Amino acid sequence: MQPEDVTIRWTDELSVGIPSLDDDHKILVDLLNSTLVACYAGFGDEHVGIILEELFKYTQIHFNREMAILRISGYDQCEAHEAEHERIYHEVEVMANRARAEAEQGLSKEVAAFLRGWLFSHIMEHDRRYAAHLRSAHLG
Amino acid sequence: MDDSMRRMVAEAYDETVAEAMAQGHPIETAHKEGVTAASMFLSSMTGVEDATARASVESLNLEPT
Repeated sequence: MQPEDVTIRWTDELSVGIPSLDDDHKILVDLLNSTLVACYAGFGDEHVGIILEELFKYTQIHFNREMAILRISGYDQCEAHEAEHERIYHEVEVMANRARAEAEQGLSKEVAAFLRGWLFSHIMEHDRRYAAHLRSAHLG
Repeated sequence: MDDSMRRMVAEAYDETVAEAMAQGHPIETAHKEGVTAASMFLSSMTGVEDATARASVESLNLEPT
């Protein structure tokens, strides 16, 4: 498995159509790619740990921003979206711990698929739902 | 920015600051997060450019309560 096999390339398909949120998602993609490359390359635990910490921090910050925006804009699926955040955050933590543990041998396909998948799932399935709500709010 | 939008922007700021501080971030970091979230909210709801939204939020001189 090569680094380009596990990293995510930003495309218009990932855009939710709101520039400020897209910019936030691009930062998440960059951090996730750094994590994946570090794990794949077999960097030491300390190095991988530093990058993972950045990923966790930014994920938390991003989720905070999203929830504030959604609550105040009157999004009717706030509770479900917040529950999804909690589920993702917990799963990312569990899987990232595994990624860190396996860093010396290179990242397993399972862990790589998960780390890529959670972001795609978060943006493309869940964030697109609220993006439509926000777009209608400012267009209406 | 009308009064209704100003109130919602302030709410986005306050909520984000409170959440960041609850998660253990220092007040300066929480304030920065609040300004960013409020700017994103304004940009998302009105369609104005990010830089314009941030300038509008900064002009409100919001502070942690």
